[in-house]
Amino acid sequence: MSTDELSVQPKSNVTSITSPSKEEVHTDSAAGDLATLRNLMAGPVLERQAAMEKEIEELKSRLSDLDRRSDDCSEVLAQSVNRLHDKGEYLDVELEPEIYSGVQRSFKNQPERMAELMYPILGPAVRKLVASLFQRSQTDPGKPYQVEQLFLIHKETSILLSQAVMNEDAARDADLVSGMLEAIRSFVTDAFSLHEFDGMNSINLGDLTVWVEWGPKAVLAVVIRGFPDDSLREYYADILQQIHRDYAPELESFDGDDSCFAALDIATLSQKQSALSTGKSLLQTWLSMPRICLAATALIMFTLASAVSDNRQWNTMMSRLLVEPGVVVVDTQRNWGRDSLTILVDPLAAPTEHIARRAGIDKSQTNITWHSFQSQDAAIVQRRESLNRLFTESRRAPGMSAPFTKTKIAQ
Amino acid sequence: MITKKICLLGGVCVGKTSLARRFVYSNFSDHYQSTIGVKIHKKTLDANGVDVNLMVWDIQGEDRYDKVLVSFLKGISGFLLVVDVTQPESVAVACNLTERVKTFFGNVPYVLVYSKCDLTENPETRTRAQELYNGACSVYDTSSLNGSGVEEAFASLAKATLERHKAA
Repeated sequence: MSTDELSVQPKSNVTSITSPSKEEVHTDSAAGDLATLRNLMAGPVLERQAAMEKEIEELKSRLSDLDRRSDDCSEVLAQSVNRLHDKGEYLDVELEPEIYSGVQRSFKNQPERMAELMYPILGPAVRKLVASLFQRSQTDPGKPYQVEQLFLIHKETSILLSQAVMNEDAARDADLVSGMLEAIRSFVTDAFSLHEFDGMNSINLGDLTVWVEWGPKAVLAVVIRGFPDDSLREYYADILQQIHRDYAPELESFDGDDSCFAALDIATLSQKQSALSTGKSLLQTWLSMPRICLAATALIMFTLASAVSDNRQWNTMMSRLLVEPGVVVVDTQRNWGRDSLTILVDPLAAPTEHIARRAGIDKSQTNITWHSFQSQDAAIVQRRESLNRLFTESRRAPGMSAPFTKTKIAQ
Repeated sequence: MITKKICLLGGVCVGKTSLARRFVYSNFSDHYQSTIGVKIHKKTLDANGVDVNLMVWDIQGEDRYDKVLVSFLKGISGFLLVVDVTQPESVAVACNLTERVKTFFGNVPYVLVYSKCDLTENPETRTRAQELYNGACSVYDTSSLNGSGVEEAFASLAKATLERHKAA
C-alpha cells in the first residue's frame, strides 16, 4: 500500500464524519483545519501501520526465498553449534551414524573419486609409517639388520645348489623360493622385452629385503631382515665370484645333481669373505697413504678399533643384562682399560658370567660384583613357583629326592 | 639329490593345475581358477630307486591371444603335454607348444597326458593327437578327479629325465 492511498482514506473518513452535518458550511479554512486535525490525530498511527505492513512484507518474502533463508541459517549455525556444545549436547555424536553411512555410501558408489580425494593424505601417511618402522628397526640395540638366509641358485635351471639358514624358524622351502625368483625374473624379462636385463637386484617386502647377485652361471640371493647397509652387497658379489672360480666346471655341466656342491658351505664362505673384505679394504687404504703417516695411523686405528670393539662388547652385555629377568644393574664405571659393574642377581636368573662371555667381555679387564636378591620379575616368580611345585611333588613321591638343579630350571 | 625342473604345458582349461594339485597334494577342486603366470610346486619321488626332486612349473595355459613365456621353460628337463579328451581343439595348441619347445630348447622329453578321462570323451581328440602320440616318451589317460594315471605320468617323466641325465 502506497502513502498516497493512505492519505486518501482518512480524507473520506473525515468526509463521512462531517457529512451527517445538516449545515453545509464549507469553507476553505474549515477544510484546512480538518486536514490539520486529521494529521495530528491519525498521522503517527498511520505511519506506524505503514511501517509494520512493510516489515511484514519483508518477512514474508524472506520466508519464501530459499536462498535468503539459507543465508540466514548460515549466519547463526556456527553459533548454534557452539551453544549446543556449551549445553553438553554434541552435534557430532548425533550426526555420527549419518556421516558414517554417507561416507560408506560414497566409498561404495564412487571408489575412484574417494581414492582420488584420499591420495594427498595417503602418501604422507604411508611415508610416515615406513619411517616409523625404519626408526624402530634402527633403534633395535645392536641389531639394525640380520642376514637370515642365503640361496645359491643355478641360473639356467633355477635349481637350488646350496643354502644357508641363520634362523631355522624363518626358513622357507628354498627350492620354491629359488624357483619363484627365477619366475619373477623371467616374467620381467619377457613382459618388458628387456634383452640385456640381468635380473632384479632386490625385492623389498616390509622390513624384509632380498638382495639378488647375478653371476654368469649362478645367482646368490641374500634374505635380510631389517635395513642393511648397501656396502654389504659388495662382499656378497665377491662370494659369488669366488664360487664361480672354485666351481666353474660343476656350474657349467650342472644337470640337476647337487651332490658336487655338497662341500660348498656358503655360510662359512660368507663369514670368511667378510673377514677378507675387511682385510682387503684396510690394506688398500694403508698402501695409498704416505709412508710417514703409516705408523701414526696404525697406532690410532688400532687404538680406535680396540675402543670401538670394547665399547660394542660392553653395550651388547649391558643391553642383555638390562632385559634379563632377575638381574638389576646397580652401578657401572668405565675407566681406561678397567671397567666395573655392580649387579643384583636372583639365584634363579640366567648366569651372568655366560652373558658376559657371550658378549665377548674380557674377564681380566672387567670387575663384576654381584649381590644376591629375590626378584619379583614375572619370569622369575614363575620359575620360583615351578621349582617349589616340583620340589613339593618330588618330596611326595616315595624314594625320590629333588632332581632339579637351579641352572636347569633357569635355562 | 637330483633335482629336475619339469613343466606342465597345454591349452587353457585343459586341467594342468588340477593335475599338479592331484600329484603334489593328492586332492582335487572343481572350482576353476585360471593360472596367471606360473605356480611352482615341489615333490620328491622315487624313480628306479633314485630319489628325484621334481620342481613342477605349472605354467598358464596358452590360447590364441596369450603365448607362454618362453623364459619360463628355460632349463626344463622334460614336460607333461596335457590334452583334454573333451576338447579336440586342445590338440592344436599342444602341437604348437611342442614345436616351440623344440625350436628353443631342442629335443626335450615329454609325456603325453590325456586329461579329464572321467568325462565323456570326444573321439576326434585322439585321432588328431596321433602325431603327438608318436613323439611322446609315454602316454597316459588321467583323471585329476579320481587320481587315476596322474602319479604314473609324473613318475614316467621323472624316469625319462633321469635316463637323459645318465646319457649326458
